Amino acid sequence: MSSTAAPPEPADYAGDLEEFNKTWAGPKGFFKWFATIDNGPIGFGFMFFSVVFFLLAGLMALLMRVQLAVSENTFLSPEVYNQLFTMHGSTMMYLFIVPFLEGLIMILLPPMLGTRDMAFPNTSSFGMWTFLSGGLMFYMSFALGDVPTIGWFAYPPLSGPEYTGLGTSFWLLGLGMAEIAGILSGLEIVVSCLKIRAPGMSLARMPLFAWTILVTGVMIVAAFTTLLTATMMLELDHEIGTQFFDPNHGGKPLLWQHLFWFFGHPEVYIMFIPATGFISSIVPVFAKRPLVAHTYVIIAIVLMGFLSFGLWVHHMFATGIPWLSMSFFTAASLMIAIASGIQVFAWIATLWGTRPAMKTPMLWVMGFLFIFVLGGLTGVMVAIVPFDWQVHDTFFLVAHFHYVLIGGVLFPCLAALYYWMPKLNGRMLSERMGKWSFWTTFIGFNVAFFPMHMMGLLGMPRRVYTYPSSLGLDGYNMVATVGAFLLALGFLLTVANVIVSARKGERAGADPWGGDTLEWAISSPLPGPMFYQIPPVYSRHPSWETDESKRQDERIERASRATANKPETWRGILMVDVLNGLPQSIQPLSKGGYAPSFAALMITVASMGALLKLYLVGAICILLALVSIIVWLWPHEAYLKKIRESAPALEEESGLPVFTTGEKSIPWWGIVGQISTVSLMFSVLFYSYFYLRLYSPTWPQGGIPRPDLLMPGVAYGLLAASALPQLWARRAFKRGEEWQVSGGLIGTLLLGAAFIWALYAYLGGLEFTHRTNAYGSMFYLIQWLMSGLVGVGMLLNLGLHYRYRRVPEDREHFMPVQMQVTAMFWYFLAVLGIAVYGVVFLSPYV
Amino acid sequence: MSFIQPPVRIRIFFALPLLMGTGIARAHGEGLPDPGSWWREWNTQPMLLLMLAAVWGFYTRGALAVWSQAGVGRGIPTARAAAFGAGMAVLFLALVSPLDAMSAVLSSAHMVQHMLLMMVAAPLLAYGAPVPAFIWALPARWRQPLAPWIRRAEGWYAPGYRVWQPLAVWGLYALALWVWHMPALYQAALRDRLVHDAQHLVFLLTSLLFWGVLLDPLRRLRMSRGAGVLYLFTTCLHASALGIFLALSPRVWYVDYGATAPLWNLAPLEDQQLAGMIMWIPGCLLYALAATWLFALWLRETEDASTLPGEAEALPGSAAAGGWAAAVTVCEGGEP
Repeated sequence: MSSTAAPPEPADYAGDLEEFNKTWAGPKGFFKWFATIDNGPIGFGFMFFSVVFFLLAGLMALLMRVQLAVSENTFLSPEVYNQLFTMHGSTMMYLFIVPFLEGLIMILLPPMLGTRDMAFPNTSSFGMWTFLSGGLMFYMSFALGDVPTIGWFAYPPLSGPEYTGLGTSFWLLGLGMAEIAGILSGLEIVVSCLKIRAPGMSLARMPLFAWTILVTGVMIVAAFTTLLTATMMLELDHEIGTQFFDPNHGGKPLLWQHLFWFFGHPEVYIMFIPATGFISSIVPVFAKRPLVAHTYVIIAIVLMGFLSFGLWVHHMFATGIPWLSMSFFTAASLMIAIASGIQVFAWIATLWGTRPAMKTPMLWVMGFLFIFVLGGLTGVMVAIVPFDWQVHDTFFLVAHFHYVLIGGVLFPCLAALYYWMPKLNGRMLSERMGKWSFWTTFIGFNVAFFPMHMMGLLGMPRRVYTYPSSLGLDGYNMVATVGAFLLALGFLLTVANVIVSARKGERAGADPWGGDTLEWAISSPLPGPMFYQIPPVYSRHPSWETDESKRQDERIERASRATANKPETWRGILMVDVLNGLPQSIQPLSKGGYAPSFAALMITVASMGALLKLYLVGAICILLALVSIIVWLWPHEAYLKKIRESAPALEEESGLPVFTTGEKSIPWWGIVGQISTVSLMFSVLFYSYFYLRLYSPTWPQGGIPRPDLLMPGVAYGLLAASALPQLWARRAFKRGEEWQVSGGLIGTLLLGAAFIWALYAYLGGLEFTHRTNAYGSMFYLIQWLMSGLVGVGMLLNLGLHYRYRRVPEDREHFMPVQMQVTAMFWYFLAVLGIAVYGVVFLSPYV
Repeated sequence: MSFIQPPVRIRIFFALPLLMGTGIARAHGEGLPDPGSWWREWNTQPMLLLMLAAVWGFYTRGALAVWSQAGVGRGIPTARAAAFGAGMAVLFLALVSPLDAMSAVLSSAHMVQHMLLMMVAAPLLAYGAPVPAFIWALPARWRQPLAPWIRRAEGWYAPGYRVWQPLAVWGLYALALWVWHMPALYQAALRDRLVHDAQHLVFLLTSLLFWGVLLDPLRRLRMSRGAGVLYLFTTCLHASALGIFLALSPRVWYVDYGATAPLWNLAPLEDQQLAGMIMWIPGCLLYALAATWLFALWLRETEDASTLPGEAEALPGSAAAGGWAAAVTVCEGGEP
């Protein structure tokens, strides 16, 4: 990518350009795709594969439309129709929109924030490869000849082991992988937005797009972790005979619906909020003035994110929830309309009285406004319970959510594609083809989906493969099918446009639209290191306001100057204060390698091996995956040496530390993210535990006695006590007392091992297993996860101890933060253990 | 209890006599109001009225003392004083008005009462800057011995303080909420005045701490606004979970309401569902609104912080102000 990029005039304080470019250059050759961790190729991978999945899912939609074109059609069998709507829905939701957004975000966020890469580049790579493997596993069911017919929501018991087979197991596993990719990129997005911006970019100066992404990131972590936990439970029901959702053994199918919609409702906003970010970035540029009510739009986004987690039950109006609750949910659902309304009016007000150039990005924005407002209005309608009961499971719903998802999400994505494509590959998309594509899509969309409102009101049920001609809906259906093909043609025109323009498009130059954000200040296509010198930022629209002399701040200028082609031998970025954007530290990023992609691959093969009962393959691959994760996380000693050598000069020049701990260091944020995710996962498990108890006549179920308190008390007591030697080691580390550090770490390890031993000694003596009933499943799952986490914590301690003994020269540099994150994780485990003891062992006595 | 820092302790100290040990909350089965005459059932126990009046009077005395020295609205901003007044009014509504009588009859009314205490009165009172007002309400010769105690302020704030304090308070609030809703304890509160007082006291105190961490006039005592949004978000999630359990449970948790709820044409289970829903939806909404407001403040703070890069680091009312006066001067800081 960096070949066409012209670096700025080298200043006298700049570092050696050649060396610098070499550091940031990606790997070469075919295998570079597996070794690269740069946000460019990784983001491209996300986008490319998600578009492939999009085309597949679109094809399935066309097949369904052909089937429905006339009544009593036999083009598809009911079985195949069910398979197609399942795969269409789940591909679009899990494999297209979110990964596509992740890819675009991954490419655009660093240049927009004025930094050089995402916060955890290895994680980006791992996420991309897990997403791709997840997608392939999704489609493995076609190869197995057992395509799931369970809908994108996979309600048990229909999706349980009794009614489905291997295809569904693979589908669930693929779903889990895609969720892991989502959670990881969510964490990465949050940390990047909060901590690695250009110096001087306070939160108030952060582009609105980044704000939307920040909120989305938090939502992704919360929602996807919930679904991941639920998916894991369902997959275990399939594979090892747990009973979480089996009503015959104390399980509760509705538990899945709660967990699913706790994810599913925010998911709509996870897709929609970044889309509003696209709109809010494009509208001001074409209107040539800042967004009206900027602050209120940000507040509306946060409110929307917050509320979306309280609303999931409105997807369950028809499941027999208490009568009294209905009006509450209706009222709360209507509130979302306020938050959306603020944004829509802000966009309209920004455009009011201007003469925006109707270039293709703007056309898609206009299309979005039209369609989304319609979809939003039908959304308000279905939020009202009596109306919802009338149209539930009819084509009215199909029309509603396609208006929201295509109009509200896909149109903004296309606007974004037309707007940012010049930045991604340096060439403009063809305006003529773009206009054709837009009008075909826009007309096709409305022709395809508007009649569905009427069909639904006239009583055409969704998810049914055909309908009798006596319903009199043939005409509407034929129109919808024609529209669907028109829509597909429109999308294909854009795909063709992208392919043709990539070769023949007009050269774009750095800033074809007169954009206001930082990415327009650098060359197109984006150079490898993004910024040769990280720019100082003094405004919300840094590319519009160039006169900065009045507000210069020496700390900001100094930090910026110190990054001119520097650090030369390692990948360095600036970390800033969350709030005011003052530079805090210079942090090294990893230099990449095969470990993340290899780990993702091995995890995939291992899980496939487990599903196909090739346990040896599974075991070997899991070991290999573990080894490659250790390689990935292990500090690269030669690289660290380079950093240690050049750090003093850089610190002198910038006035900022390189080796830091706490919130000024990237690993600290990594561990905070991991701790948050694991806490959420356990919260979901605890919620499920009490939910099962709520509906169970006795607890524990099925005559299992209340758990023993003493033995588990000893085990969890040991775990809690193990925090003390850890604390001791950490204190000694700060004082440099070598033997105490060793003693503390080994003490922690021994107590951790004792915990696992005591726990399994206790579990071994129990009368029931995870197969007995849902209580048993829950009981064992929580214990297994807990012991697994302690194992991870022990590995961290072991690695730390090894490095402490073997690499003493690093004790003053990187190791303090390694010590810190290891200790944080261990303290967390001790506290989590107490919570587990309280919930699993004490609560049955209350 | 080292995580409860001295200024917070002062707050607890002043809140303690509010409800403690007087048996003012109604126990179940005493003078049940019926749908015809419920609005006449005011809780006019002298002890309760006296305490409410005393707290309010004490605050007023302190605020007036500050204002007479510094000018009206200085030291303790009028908005904070008004919030305290409003908080006291909500306390009155929750504890004195017929709502208190109703809460012995209906689980849902009891839920409303608790939510008024924890989510309306508590944030208003915490926002009202009671600590400086109460200090100023003391006679000068009593204030004197307090001075060296507060002067040691610099030592209170260990580096991780702004992280650990909110985490601990978050946990305490969650614990209070969940433990008191266990059927055994809740039923005990319905049957025994003292237990009921203890329940209200724990709810009020933990929520004063909970909101104090977010709204404290001392900038160094409160958590970052942005983290505050997450703090409220996660609380909203677990509180909703409790509400969900109440709303969806097929069994009545608090059987004592079984006899009284039908008087109001509600099946006991319906009454409980209503209580759960109130905790879930309006409850979550209150957290959301508070979070939105905090977030708006945070955004404004970032604007200020970026125009004056040094401002965010300089904490107002540091050692220079000295003594107990510091507690007052910091209120002048930059509060809206």
